[in-house]
Amino acid sequence: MATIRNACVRTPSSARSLVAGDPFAALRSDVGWILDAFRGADTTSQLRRSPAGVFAPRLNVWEQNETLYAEVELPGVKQEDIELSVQGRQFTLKAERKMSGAADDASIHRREVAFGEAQRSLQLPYDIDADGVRAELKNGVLTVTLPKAASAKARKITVNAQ
Amino acid sequence: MNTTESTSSQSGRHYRPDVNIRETSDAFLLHLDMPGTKAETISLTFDNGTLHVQGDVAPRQPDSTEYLLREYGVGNFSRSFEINRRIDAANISADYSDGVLTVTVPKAEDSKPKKIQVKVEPKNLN
Repeated sequence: MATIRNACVRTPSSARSLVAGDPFAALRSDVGWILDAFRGADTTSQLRRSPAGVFAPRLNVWEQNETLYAEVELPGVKQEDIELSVQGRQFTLKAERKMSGAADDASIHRREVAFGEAQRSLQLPYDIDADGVRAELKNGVLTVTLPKAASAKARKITVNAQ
Repeated sequence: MNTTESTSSQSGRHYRPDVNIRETSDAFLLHLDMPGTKAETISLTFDNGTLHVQGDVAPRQPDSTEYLLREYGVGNFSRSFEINRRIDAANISADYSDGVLTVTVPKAEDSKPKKIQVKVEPKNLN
């Protein structure tokens, strides 16, 4: 089985929020509104955000029949705001989550979801056939099909008998 | 509006969707990230002041899949919200698109902000 060089933090999405095991749960019911404001700030900082404000989406990658599949959850992102590029074994995903339905009269009570740009690059274990790359976005889940380049496939070499 | 943690991810079977909660003059709007579910598998219940949101997510790859990279888990979503405000429970509505569930919780008519007219006494011209 091929390995991926880019070592990443393997965090289940269940660990995304600070709230699980929150020791202040009981206290919060009394002073909910005040704590909510702070908790909102805390959970936002849980996203893996670079100083430039770009966060790195999490990826699941697997291989089947000499094809790599990369899957990423991009809720709230429109198809036209996703950009994929593949060059050799370098895979780059860019996406922008635009603010939706921002009403002027709205006040924010909780903010765990961040908007803005997301970017992720990955060094794949072998060269990809860039022309064969396909991507499908469905219900906020993007699945990218990355077929192995012919040059990277194992070839059976016939030994000629003289 | 508070959230209860009774259905947190600690069970290992449910994922807690991230949420943004906004308040307008008419309603509370909950935007929950629930990628990979389907509108027909999402259930919403409001009982005794608690709004419970549940969305089933079918596995997208067979169990035997060997991942080269596995940075997130996939499973059902579940989260509860304690609503300690006066709301119009009969008219809660929800819409699912692009993996985001938007729940509109209208405020009770008598709890909406009202504009109060300040009466101006006619000037007493003497």
